[in-house]
Amino acid sequence: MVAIKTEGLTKVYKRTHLFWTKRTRALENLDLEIEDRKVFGLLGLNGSGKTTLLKLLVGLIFPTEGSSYIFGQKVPNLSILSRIGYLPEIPCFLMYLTASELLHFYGKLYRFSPRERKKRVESTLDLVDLRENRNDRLTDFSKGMLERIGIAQVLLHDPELLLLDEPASGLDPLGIKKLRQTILRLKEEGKTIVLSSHFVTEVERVCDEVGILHKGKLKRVVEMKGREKSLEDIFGETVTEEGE
Amino acid sequence: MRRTLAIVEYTVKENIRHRIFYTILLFALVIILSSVLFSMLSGEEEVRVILDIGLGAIEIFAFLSAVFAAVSLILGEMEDKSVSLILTRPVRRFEYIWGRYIGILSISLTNILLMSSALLFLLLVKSWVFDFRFLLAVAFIFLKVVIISALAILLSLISTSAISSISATFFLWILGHVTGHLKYLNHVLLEKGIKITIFLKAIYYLLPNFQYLNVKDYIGYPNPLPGTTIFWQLAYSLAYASVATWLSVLIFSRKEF
Repeated sequence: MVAIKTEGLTKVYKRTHLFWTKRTRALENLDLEIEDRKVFGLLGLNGSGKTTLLKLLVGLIFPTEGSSYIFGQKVPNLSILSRIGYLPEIPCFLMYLTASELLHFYGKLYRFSPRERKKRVESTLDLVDLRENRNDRLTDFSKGMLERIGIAQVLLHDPELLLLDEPASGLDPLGIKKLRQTILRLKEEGKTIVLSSHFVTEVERVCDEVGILHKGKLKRVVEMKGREKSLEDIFGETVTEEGE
Repeated sequence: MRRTLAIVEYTVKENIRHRIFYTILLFALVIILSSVLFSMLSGEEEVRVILDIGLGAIEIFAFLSAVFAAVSLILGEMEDKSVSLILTRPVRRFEYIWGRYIGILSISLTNILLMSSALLFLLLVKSWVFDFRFLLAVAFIFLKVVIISALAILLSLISTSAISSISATFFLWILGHVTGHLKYLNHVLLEKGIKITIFLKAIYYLLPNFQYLNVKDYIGYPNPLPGTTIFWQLAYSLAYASVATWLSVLIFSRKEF
């Protein structure tokens, strides 16, 4: 089954300064299909369109042209959002809340019953080793703890599809290892995971397929099993073909 | 509805944990209490002075608390992008705006009730004969806040910075208290042969008419406030705030984060 499908997806950002409008083509005519129960990596340099694609899928921005579908339904779609867990590149939380209050608030947005919500909040906090800090305000959290609460808010509603934007960017080596273990465990549970990164080795270790984005275009989709070259070499060749 | 209520709840929580909430409340109570000192200077009109200063303070501080809440919460959340972790859940954008709006109104109402209780206590200590229009005046201060909060949200969605948003809201607040003079201005201009009636009429109907909601001026005077007037004042406030909030929803629905 196809989890994500995009057809001619294009995004042009417009920035208007008085009488002058600057247009930036962030994503261009993207046709992509991602099978469910797979870990799909989006690899690309800064500004290649990875974040734009993920934001389009969750409806934070709107396409200039084209359309995208998640589990066969056109997005943006409210019912689909309850099946997605999204981690932005720089997650910003409601810092005046405690870890538990934050997750309870998000839980309310999914309309969980109080009992169900309590159960999910506690098990999610356990999962990310934050049970002891559940009554601490997020303002008192370290960077690593904030990253973990970021993962917790993704997992709270047990989504079928996880969209992770640069999940390893702020983590220390131990954090990266834990994240890798979490991704592999979720994959075993049958989740579909799309993660964007510019860490080639991390992508190589967890992904089944990798899409290489460059200057807003999907240059190549690499099947990780049976490839003859390292991903680093393939990525290097792909982006330098453009004369970089 | 449950999602809107969740947003209302967290807006209230956010406000209560904000230092500015207590600062505004404290300042208001100090002003209300200091009205007793000013009243000593006024001889026979002691109660009137307490009443005027007190209700004036309630109005100004209710306005300040509503505007700071509307601007800092909504604009702040858009600037730091924390709104994206709410909108990527099954929340409709109108639920977010209405939730925020009702949350701000809930906290403003609490503020107004606390300040009014303090004022009422002071007045009763001064042997004031209770006039039910005191309650009406307080209710109409809240109606002004209902309008200005809706406008503050709208302006914070249009503006790019908190300063410009707060200044614009403040400007509208001032203008809203002098719109009545536009009719007189039109009359004077017509006498001088200048015809800009349509333009002035447009401004008159577009700007909020806060003077229309100034019930506090009636307290202590024998003329009663007709029921139909109260009905139209209420209808006007709710209609104006609804239109402003739906405009906010329209703008917010097209915003990208």
